Amino acid sequence: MGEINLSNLTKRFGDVVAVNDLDLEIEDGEFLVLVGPSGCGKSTTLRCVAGLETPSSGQIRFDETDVTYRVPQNRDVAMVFQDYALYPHMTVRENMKFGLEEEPDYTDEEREERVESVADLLDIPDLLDRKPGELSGGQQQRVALGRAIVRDPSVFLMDEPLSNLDAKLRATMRMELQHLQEDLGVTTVYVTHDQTEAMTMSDRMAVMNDGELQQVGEPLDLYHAPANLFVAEFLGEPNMNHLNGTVDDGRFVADSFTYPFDDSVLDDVEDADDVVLGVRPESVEILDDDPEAVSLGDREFEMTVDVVEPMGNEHVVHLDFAADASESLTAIADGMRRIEEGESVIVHLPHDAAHVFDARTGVALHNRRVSFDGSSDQLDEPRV
Amino acid sequence: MVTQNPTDHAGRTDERPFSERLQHFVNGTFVRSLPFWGIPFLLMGSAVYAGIGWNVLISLTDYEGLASASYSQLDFEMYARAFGSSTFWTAAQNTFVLLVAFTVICLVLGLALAVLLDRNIRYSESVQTIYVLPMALSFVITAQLWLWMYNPDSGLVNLAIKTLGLSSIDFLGNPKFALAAVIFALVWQFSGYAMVVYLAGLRSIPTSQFEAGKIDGASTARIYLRIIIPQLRASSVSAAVVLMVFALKAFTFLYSLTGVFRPPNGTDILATLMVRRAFKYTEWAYGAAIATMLLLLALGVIAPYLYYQHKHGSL
Amino acid sequence: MSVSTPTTDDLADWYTDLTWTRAALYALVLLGVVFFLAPLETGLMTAFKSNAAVIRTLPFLPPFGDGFTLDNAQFAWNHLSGPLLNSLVMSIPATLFTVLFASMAAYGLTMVDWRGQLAVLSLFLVGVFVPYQAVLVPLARFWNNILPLGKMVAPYVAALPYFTENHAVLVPLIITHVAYGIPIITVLFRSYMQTLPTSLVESAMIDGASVTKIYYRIIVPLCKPMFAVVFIYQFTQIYNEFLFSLTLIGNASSSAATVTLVLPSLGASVSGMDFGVRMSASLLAAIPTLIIYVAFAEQFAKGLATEA
Repeated sequence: MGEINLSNLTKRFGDVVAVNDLDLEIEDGEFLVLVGPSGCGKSTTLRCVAGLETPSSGQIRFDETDVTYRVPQNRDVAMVFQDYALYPHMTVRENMKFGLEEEPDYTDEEREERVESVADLLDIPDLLDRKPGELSGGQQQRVALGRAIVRDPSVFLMDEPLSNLDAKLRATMRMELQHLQEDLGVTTVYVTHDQTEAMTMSDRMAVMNDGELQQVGEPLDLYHAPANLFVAEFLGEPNMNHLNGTVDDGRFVADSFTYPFDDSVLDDVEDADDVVLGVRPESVEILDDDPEAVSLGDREFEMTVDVVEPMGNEHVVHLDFAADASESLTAIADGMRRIEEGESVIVHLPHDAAHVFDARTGVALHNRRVSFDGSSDQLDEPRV
Repeated sequence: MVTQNPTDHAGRTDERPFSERLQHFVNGTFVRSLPFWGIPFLLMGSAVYAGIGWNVLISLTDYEGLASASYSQLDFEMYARAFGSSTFWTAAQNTFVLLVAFTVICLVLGLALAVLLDRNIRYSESVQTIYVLPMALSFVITAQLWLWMYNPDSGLVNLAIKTLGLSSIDFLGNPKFALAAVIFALVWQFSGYAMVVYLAGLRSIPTSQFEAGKIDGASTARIYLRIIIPQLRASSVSAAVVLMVFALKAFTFLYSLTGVFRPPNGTDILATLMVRRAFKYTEWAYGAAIATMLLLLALGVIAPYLYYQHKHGSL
Repeated sequence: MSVSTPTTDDLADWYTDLTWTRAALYALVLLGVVFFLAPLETGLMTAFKSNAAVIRTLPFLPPFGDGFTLDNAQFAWNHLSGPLLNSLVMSIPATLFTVLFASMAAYGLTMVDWRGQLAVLSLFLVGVFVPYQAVLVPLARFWNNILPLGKMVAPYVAALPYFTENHAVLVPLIITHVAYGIPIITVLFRSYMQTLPTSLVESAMIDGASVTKIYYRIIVPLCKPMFAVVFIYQFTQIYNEFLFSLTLIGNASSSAATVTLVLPSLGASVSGMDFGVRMSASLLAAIPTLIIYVAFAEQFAKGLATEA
């Protein structure tokens, strides 16, 4: 009860293609997050699923039933809007009961009971007789959630539901929403532009850009084995280091440095010339050795510390190869370590930390090897 | 299953089967919203557009008196008659003068009052209420009030003139002054409207702009002239259009001054001429022809406005 | 201390500026008040003056001594009480129906997602600006010859208490006012509805509410402030309207004549310059709209502002 199947979904607004030929399967009970920068088509996709937009072409099926042209009220979905869309003239109770009024299976008492039990679940029973205008942002968010839950739909649709909350509350609600979804077991499609939300909450996430699906899969798979440069750079904070260069004689050659590829990388890179070397900041190692005292090993470089951003638990360290070099690196260092700006350090890029992308198409040629057993749901032909 | 492949406006083919498209159409917002706007649209459409169409048709006949209209022979005779009539041209000229002078004076006065009330005046709400008060009154009533104001013997206006040492003037009786006097009275009634529109415009401009100007060392007058007023263009346009519509309704004011179809000498406008020819002399076709030209004038006024609104996406 | 000196100077400058320009501002504001109230004030004073006092005394001074009289007011009441009632009988239902239809039209046109929407809306918008003269001849012919609704309902109207057969003419008059009032009120409603978040309607759609239910459960309650504005605006418009009454009722001596129809002829019928009567009658006729206006000044001003 709640499997969603999108095939060849395309939505055009005039000459603008908002969603282009999207194929996506969402399993029953799954928490799927649609994530991407603003304007990538994620909200349009959600609105097509809700029935608020009609696709220009393609099909939407719920449990093998074609619902592409069904009006929203016949789809058995509930939606939480970014602005919550609470009816300002109704009390919380009336807001929550509004959707139930259309369901004939309930008696009036049952509706009342259902509202109360959902209010208990969300810990808002004392708000029931207030108007939305009297509630805080977080309370309104809970009511909006309650209004969706009370209807017991087969699919929840959520359009950036946490983006109007402050950072602290957002973190709390993230966890709570996840628990709630697990308990209720209802298929949930969740749209956000926030990669942290996507990573932390989803069973699987679908990354979109420019109306096109980039990659679908479990969060860590996408993080460690991105299908292309877009996914690689979209996920992770700080961003993945992005170094342009060429492959020459089994080495990566950039303006300021060369980096030998090991065999497994070379196998994947084959005969590509212009490539992008991607290294996650946490893979960049700043060695303790004094650069004056030791000689540089393979994949070791002498670099200057440009800026250190202390985060408390860790430092974000920006490193330059030379004062005027076009390349630079960002590294994550332990928060207890002393690193001075302007200091010279030795930086090590481990042989298994390299991601290599085709510079022209952005397609991932090689992804770093991770120690745990993670199988990637990589698309056969990653799109750009 | 019938399958048609019509192309949409971008030239792409709609490959959905007909039944599906029909289902979508019936479920679509167009069909479901039709009962809501359809009934009012039908009522309004037949009253306004069928009315206009019929009026144009009548203007092409020779219909007059108590007989019924004959639509067998249609020509532009009535329009030719109007163009050959000096009364028509005088009325057209008066209409134009009234329209332009009334609108411009109202805008200028309204802007001045709005700026005045925008200067943190105490009780500005009550003052605003007083300035707009005349708008609540019917033309019929304000015409009576101004008859009294302009009375040559005891009216307040002439009293003021006599205090200045001049001799009193029969404003409404003298064709030289009558139109100006009417315009003045109408300005009294509607400049408050322009003020309200401008005031709303002024209040939508963030005070930070004013403060930034102050910090840059500009004087209050200079800030208004250079920063604030140039931003009121949209307010000016919409206020001007509505004022012109008021001016086109000045018929009632003029009729009420005399209580008969002929307004004071020198103030005959197309609207009064039309009603007089049609309803006093029962020259229906001639009246309809004048009405058609009045309509064209009104459309000429608002067409640029609607275009402007459309271009700025605020339609 | 040298530091404090410029501060004091600034404050002093500011203070002088305050006194002089402020005084000038308030003088201008007061001048405006006098300008806008003068015709009403002299009208009010004159309304209670005897004929002799009208000629003898300054028009803006209150009546005193034997110059004061209620005769004019009494005369005005005798002649206008019937027409006042007729005006209300016409204006109230006409306003209600206009507002109902217009709010429906605006709702329909705001929520449709359809290419022809702009064309339909433009037709409403142009309808706002059409001078009534342009439809007057057909209108008179329609109600007299094509559909003589007045004559058709006359027996039923006459069966009601107080009303006579003549009053039947108010029925087509009401319909006329509704038809020509719809465009402006629709435009007013639509501009308001556009400011409502679309997510409210979408949420209700997903909640399974029908188009009709969304109208009366969501849209109407949310548009309450606008309803107040348009009720006041449209009542004032219809009550003050003259041209339709003139063409459809025609005769000011008809027992169905509205206030606006009677007033000009009342002035003309009184020989000479009996301004006491004219002013009494004018102010009496103005009372309903003035009451509404003063009581709801805020909504009235808001209506004017949104109209633009």
